[in-house]
Amino acid sequence: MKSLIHRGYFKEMFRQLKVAGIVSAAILMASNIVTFLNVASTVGLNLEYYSIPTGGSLAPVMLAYVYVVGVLLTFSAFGWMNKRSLSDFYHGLPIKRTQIYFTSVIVIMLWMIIGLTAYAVVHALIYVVLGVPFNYLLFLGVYANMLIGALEVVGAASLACAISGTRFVNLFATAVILFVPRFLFSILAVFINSIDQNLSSSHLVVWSISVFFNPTYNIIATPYNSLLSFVSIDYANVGAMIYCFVYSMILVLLGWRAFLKRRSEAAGNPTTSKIYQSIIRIAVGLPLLLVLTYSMVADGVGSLAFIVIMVLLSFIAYSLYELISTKSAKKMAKAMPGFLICIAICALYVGLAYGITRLEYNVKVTDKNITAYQEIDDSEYTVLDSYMNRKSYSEIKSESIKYNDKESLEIIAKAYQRTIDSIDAEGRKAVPNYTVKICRKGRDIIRAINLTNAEQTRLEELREADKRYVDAAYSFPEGMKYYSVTYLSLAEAKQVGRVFEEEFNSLTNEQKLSLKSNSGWFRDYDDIYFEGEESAFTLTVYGCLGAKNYSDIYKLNGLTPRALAKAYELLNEKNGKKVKDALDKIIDWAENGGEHIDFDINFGKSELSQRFGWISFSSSKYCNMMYENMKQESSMKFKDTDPEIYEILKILSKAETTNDPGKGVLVIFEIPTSVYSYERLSVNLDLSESDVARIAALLSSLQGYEDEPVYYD
Amino acid sequence: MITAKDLTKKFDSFTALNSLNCSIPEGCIYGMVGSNGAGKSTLLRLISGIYRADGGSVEIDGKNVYDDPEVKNRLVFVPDELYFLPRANLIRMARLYASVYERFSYDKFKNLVRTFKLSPTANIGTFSKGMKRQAATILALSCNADFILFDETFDGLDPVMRNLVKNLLYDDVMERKATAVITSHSLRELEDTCDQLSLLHKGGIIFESDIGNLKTSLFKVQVAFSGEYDRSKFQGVDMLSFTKHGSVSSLIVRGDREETAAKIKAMDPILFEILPLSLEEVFVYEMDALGYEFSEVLKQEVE
Repeated sequence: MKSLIHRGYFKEMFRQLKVAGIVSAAILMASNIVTFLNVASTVGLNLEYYSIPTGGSLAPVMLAYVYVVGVLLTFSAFGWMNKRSLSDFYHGLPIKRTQIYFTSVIVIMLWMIIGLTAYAVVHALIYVVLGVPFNYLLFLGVYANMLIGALEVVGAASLACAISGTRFVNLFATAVILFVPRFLFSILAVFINSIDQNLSSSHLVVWSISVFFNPTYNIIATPYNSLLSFVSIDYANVGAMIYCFVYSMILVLLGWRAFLKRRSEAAGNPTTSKIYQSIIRIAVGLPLLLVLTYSMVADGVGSLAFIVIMVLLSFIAYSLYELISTKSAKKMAKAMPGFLICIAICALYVGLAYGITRLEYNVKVTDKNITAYQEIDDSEYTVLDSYMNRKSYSEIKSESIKYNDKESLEIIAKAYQRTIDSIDAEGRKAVPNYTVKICRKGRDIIRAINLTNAEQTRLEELREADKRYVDAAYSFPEGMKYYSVTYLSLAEAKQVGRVFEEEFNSLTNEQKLSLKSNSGWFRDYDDIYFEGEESAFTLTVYGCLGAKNYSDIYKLNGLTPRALAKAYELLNEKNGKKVKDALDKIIDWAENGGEHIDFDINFGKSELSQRFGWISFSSSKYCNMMYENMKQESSMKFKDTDPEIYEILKILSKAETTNDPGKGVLVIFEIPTSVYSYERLSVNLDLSESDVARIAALLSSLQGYEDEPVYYD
Repeated sequence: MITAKDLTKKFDSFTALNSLNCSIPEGCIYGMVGSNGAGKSTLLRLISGIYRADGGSVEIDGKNVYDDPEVKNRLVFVPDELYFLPRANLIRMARLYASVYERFSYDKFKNLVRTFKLSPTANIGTFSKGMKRQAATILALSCNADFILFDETFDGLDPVMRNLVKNLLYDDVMERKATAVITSHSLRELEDTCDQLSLLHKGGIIFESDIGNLKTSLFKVQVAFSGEYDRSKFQGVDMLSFTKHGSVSSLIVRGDREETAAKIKAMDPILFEILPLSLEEVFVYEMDALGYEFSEVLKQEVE
């Protein structure tokens, strides 16, 4: 260790980076104030208004810190290499060059660790102290990823500083080292996907060849690459962390070698060697040209104007970099023919993409070499997924199951071969409709294959026969979980949730399935009601399975009467008196006038909900005046202008609350508490059949009411 | 001892040092003189291990300097273009030096700060050019290095400070047997400071000598004889130059004074006088003897 770190220089470098380190850490910490305010505002709120933070929402702040501060600190620590007098001074110090390099890298990392750790501890503490649901394991994964990411940025920036001699080139070289290798892999994957889009839907075929191709395996480059191929990071993927750490260490070591070779007199020169300058120049010119080539491969030659513009822009970027970095028009002119290399690389990419695609088609899958298959969620890697808790507990639990029964494997192998065989000059005839990870003796591959309806049904049957799948599909979420019931607090919802869990576990699989909501893309946006079904109440279970968040929505209905009764009991207990008082006040206003009251009433149960939807009306000053003007009777009371509504209110005010799910009608009141907010109060009112029928008749008689909800505004 | 063997350093196509050889003994003040671009600074940077040689070697007591902290700890280099940390004061800079130079002495640092009457807490960035050089000198001398390398040492110093620096150097050389290597493009600057002097030109040392020897072994003789005579009269005398105006001749002679005086006196001159030469004159004649045009070698000096 002593041969890598110089104690005196460590202290000195620590002092030199102190201001930048503290200021950047302070800025990062300051972002916790925003977190605190956001989280504090959700305390006590129903989870309907809250989502357990995902990796996609936890990472950006730290990622920005890693990008910016990593580069900033590295440039500060190695900035002396850009100026001759400074370079001479540091090269003259009685310290081994290896020690200068590694001491600097370690000090930079130390400051970044201080910043990230301080932020992470405070961030987690906010959730602990406020008692708001949080996935600590996921956060630990994000934190670990960010530390590794910091090493990657520092490694890339150190290498860039070691091979270049001006701030401008430092920056470009850092960007090239960080992003271009990953970009080249990703664009190759995109090329292949453009040749055969169904080769593997969102799982590009080359990703399965090597981790080097997998864009999710690079913490730093992924957000940038997601612009290209819509991928996001799995922050709990240990393999990705190891890959990224090894990759970062390679960058650090390459930086060390370049640093040892670097001469003091290189300060002020664009790069320490002409080769480096050429590589950076080509890397600057290449991306746009590759995008153009990709577009031509995917969509055909396209318009000439587009091609000319893209080539021109690429050439300008290429030449401009040379001009700015060397400050020499002569050198720029000399470098121009090198642009042909960019074009040659593009041509090479097309050839490579076609070659790899052909090779992939040749991969054989038979029932002899296939050992298992796994279901793959097609959109698993989408960016949006990282911002939402989109998956259900069952989905997360079942996605790791490897199905290995003989019949299933035969179906998969057969379907795979059919999919491959269907490729001809005109494309595929058997359109892939199912994505699987095929575990082979040798290399696992991810493929989108074509399954017939019969095959799909049989696979489902076989899965249903698998105990692991049944456990995953029909068990109630376990581990750390939080409950949410509309209009109930977290603590109240927990009481309902516990009762529900007991009832749920005693049901048959079929019954369990009927209680589960359809999982799917729009689930998070769905209203709490199950459209077309007799349920006004839902129980949402949010939780964490390892580092993955899930959310499951269950109906509270006759299958779980105790849970539903518990929910009504809690609601009635909490809101019964308030609702009664509010109704009395509204009726008094309707009869006698006075200060206007805003209120909405929603009938949320069964056929009422079905028939009337969301019925709301308002008696705000403005709206009332409009109504009165229409009738030219400005002095009339509400009971006279709106007799139907008045009667409904009277019926409601006379009704008592009931905890019996069979008898009650859930009525939800929204009563303003201030100009900008309202209180939502719901109770289960004991309305007789005749009362319900009368309300329905009154609502039907309202002008404008048809099938759609009626809004009075 | 600092030894350079066939030392070559190139910057792209420009050869700054071309197979240079020299040896600088311990415990002396070694001056290097040469015009801009002669290779003085490059040589110092090679000696101090900043540059890596493209050919040959530079060693201190038999050890290669480049990337050897042990050897580098024995030397300190004050370049022509000074570097201080941004917004740093002398105390901050001393801390930097102390953290890397094993023999850095805070006591000596304090004494020197007092001697130079500089404020240790003032921002060095606000110092004048001369004060910055004083600050650099303080820091360098506080390192207690065996070898102190100064590039254009006296640039920007007023006469009082020049003498002060010179005296401090003498003290270090005398007390600690340190070796100082000083470069300048001004011969006059080094004349009364150095024990040894070398002249660099186009990347090579074209002349190197002990100053004491140089001054005593080369002298001017003014002589006149009653009859006609020419250069041939002085056969046996090692003359670098001979000029004659009327009956009076001026000779630049190399060799032992007494011996030469005895030889010429034996010729019965009507006028005989031995005059000392300035270092500059010595260089002019030595260069001339070596076939160099002095004004080319030390352009600035002449200008």
